Amino acid sequence: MKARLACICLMATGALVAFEKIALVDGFDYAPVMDTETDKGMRQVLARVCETGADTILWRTHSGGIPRYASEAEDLAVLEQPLDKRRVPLTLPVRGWVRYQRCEPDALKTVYGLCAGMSGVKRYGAHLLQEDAHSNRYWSLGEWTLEHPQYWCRSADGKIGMHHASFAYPEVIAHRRAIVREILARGAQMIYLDTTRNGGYGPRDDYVKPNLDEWARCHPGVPVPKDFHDPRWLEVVARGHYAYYRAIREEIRASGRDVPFVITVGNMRVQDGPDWNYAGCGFDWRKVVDEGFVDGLAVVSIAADEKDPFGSTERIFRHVAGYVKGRCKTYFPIRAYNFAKSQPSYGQLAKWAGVTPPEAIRRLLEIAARCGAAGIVMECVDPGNYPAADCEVIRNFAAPAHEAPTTHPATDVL
Amino acid sequence: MKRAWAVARIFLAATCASSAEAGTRAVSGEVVSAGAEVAICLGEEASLADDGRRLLLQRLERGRFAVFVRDLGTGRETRISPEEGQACFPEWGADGSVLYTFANEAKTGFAARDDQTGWNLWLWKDGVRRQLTQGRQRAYAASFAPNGRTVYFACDRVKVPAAEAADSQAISRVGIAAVALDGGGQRTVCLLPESNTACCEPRVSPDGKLLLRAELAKFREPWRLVVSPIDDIDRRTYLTTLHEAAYAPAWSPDGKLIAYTGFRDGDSGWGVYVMSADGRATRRIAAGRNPSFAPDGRSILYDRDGMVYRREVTR
Repeated sequence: MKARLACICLMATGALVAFEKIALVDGFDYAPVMDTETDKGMRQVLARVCETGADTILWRTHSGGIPRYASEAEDLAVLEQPLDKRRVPLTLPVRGWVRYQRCEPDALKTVYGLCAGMSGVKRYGAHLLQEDAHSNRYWSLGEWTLEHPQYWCRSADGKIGMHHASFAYPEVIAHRRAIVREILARGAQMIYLDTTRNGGYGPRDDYVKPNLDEWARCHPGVPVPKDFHDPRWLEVVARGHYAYYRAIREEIRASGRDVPFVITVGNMRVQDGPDWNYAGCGFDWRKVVDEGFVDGLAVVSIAADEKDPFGSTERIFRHVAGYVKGRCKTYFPIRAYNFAKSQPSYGQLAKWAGVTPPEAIRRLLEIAARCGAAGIVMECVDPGNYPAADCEVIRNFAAPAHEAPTTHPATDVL
Repeated sequence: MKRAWAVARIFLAATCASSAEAGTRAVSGEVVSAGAEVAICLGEEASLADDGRRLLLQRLERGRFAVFVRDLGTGRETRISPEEGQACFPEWGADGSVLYTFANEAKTGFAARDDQTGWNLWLWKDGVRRQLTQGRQRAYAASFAPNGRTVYFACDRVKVPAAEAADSQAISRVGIAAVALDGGGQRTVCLLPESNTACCEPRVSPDGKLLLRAELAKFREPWRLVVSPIDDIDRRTYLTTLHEAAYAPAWSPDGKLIAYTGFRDGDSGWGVYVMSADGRATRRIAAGRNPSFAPDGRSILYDRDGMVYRREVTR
């Protein structure tokens, strides 16, 4: 009887929604083995991704700043290397030679069209990167950024950094907003902003004039801190980031469609003060939740404890869920890649715990569901990872349906 | 030669922005005064022939770049590059030949994975085209040495393939290579030691002694101008600092000035700068990029938003 009442109450306050299984897909990584510039190749990529049991497919839209579709926001004529001699060509076989921006019909529209026709896919959208240069390399610098040195980053001692255009400039945000507009126009059903892929950017690079002016306005007579970890400096830098997130939200609203906006946080740990995301990426995830900028918060890496991998994972998940308190959805990671000790893969967690990888996945799925997550994020589904036995666990996992947040929190801040 | 460079180096060290990491920079000064800007025609990467009457340029045609020679007297244009494919970065040779980069990448990257085609250098003379470099590489931003027999160019395949295959991080690197017109293979001239670095746009000084180029030495740094003795490339003198961005250098015919594309704090965007060859004085003369000196050294051509302009300069 109690359970029935609880169910009725849930239905009265918000819709019950299924546990989501999100796959991040970097089509570029399939380029050496599939012809990803063609409809056939994209279909092969998606078939592989669906083996994991993913029901939400987020296709990476850019390599750093280079669009993987016929973007109107970039000068496509000079994206092919080496036509702009300021860009350092990528020399890898195949990947250094793909030209998604030249695909006809438009590559992103094609992918979304294919997703729409796949029975297991409930939602598809954009894995949008915060970075201008992927993986700290100049081959992927976008044309707009190269063309606008006046918006480039500055170090504390005034050195120019061409790897990123600062969000402190409204023109940069307007450009980014135009990108979101054209992605939405191609049919994206979710905008997933990956702030952890930031191309080496951080608040240490953001000593640009608008931020220096803002500092002088807020802290008259106080020298600008050379240590970018200074919370007062981080707060100034973060304003540009929040303006960017608001702009994305406004653009989604202008589309007239119900497209969730999800933002990532990385290297998560139980910590109350400013964390890695603040000093490393330029924003405070708590503020993002408090202000209602987003519909979802995706934790993409966790600083699990080697001695207690799953117990510490659950404590971290509960820490996030406890702060969010249902104000937006939360997503937790099933990550295949082991980039650092502080960002362990599920395989690493399995090793630490002495269990098999499928068992590690099962435990992570259960923890996520127990902590009230809306779903999991697979980071990233590539040709050679997520083997069949691991996929089977993900595919067969059925969490109880949970309640969706009842309001669109971000609409309140516009 | 080494002795000559030793003298030059002492001079440069005393006057240039050198390799200092912070603070130092060429001072602004009246290295030249510039006249009014004159629009010439649609195009980019323009340069004048020795006769001063023919203009070499690249231009977008139906979404693809092509190379043309324009007769400034009649306005008549001759297309140098083939109808198919793309061509860019044209340069005059002393004998009226034209050097350019060309590719005809019709296949997808996957379909062309075993091909040996790429962006390679071609030479055009009197309607005849000849391929100078080969392979799946990008050979570009080339120029002739003053002897007219050696071509220097940027190339993303300057390492031997085996070494590159063993180095998974060597995924993004450009060096400078050279090839002789009268035969012989491609040889590496300049390469920075790490990945994600570049040496580009090599320009040999009119006296043949120095190699000027743009370099990108490290992530978080901008393009800088660097000069070295041509027989001792690793002895670098930086002509610009980390507080500005600079690329696309061009010598004046007498070797006393260098024009380049630059950006400094306060600029509204990229601009054409002229500096004395010792780096002591620098002046921004226009909004635009890709400058080249006219053969008489009295004017500079550059482009902005797909239009070629000319501006007189007096010293």
